[in-house]
Amino acid sequence: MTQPNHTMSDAELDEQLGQYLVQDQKDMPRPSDDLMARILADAEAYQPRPTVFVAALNRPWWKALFDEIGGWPSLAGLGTAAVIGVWIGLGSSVIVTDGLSSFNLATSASATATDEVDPFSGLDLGFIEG
Amino acid sequence: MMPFDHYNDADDGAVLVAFANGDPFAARVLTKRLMPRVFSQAYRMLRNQADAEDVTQDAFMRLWSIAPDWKQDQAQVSTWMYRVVRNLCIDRTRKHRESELDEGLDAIDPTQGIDQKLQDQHRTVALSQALDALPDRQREAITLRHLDELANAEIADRMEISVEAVESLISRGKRALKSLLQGRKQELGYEDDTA
Repeated sequence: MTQPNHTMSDAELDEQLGQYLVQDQKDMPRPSDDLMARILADAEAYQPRPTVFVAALNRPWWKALFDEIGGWPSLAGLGTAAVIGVWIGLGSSVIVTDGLSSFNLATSASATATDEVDPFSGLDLGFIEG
Repeated sequence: MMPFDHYNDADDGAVLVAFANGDPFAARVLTKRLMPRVFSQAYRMLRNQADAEDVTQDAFMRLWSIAPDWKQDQAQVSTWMYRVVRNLCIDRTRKHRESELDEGLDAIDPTQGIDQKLQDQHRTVALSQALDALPDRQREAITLRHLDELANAEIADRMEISVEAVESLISRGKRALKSLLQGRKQELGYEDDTA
């Protein structure tokens, strides 16, 4: 006996396809357990680090102070200024006398002894000359 | 409350930006969201678990590396990932084909392995073989339409072609499928014309 001819319609094809693809998805193997771990390990390696913030949290106080004042160049400048300050403080009379005499600002020929130096003599001269 | 629950309402792009900003939980959130779909896409294209896992890992690696330059308005992360996975799978398939041809083997039988797994399910095998016989882009468009249930516009976006091209691919693919399946009606559960 001959069966009636049956041509697959679009709707039947769509239904078959849908069923097949959904079943195929269900039959699909699950990813192995370590895939997630591998992906997360890569993520950790690639993730940008907030370096400035972390560095600021972890550095000691003296390092923070050192960075704050400008590092080695500033420290060298401060050291130099300190040494010069001590030097000036210890030998100020001689230095001031020598300095004034070199500019001929001493008003008295007898004022050669360090205890007779008038540190404001230059100021008087300034007033006189206007 | 889990530490990454606050990402529940965030879209993938926002989570990726959080990853780029150093949030340690963002990677786990994105991986959980995207990995199942990425793996299944890779497996559907490659039909090999190890290869699909390698492609999945590779695709994520590219996502992590692009993260600092990601612009949230440029594309959806899922669409971007789909394209990356597709290209990786095409490259891998091409290399396999070249190496097999170099070794003097026959052309790849895309149904190899499926027959063993589904040997009692003749209908599934027939459909599988017919689908595998389609050109790649036709199969891809049909799969996106019938499995992922995407609209033509979304398919066009993922495949980087026009909507008209998608309609054409699906239409030609279905015509080809019908033609391929005509001779296998019994396996599909239809009556044979001459029975």
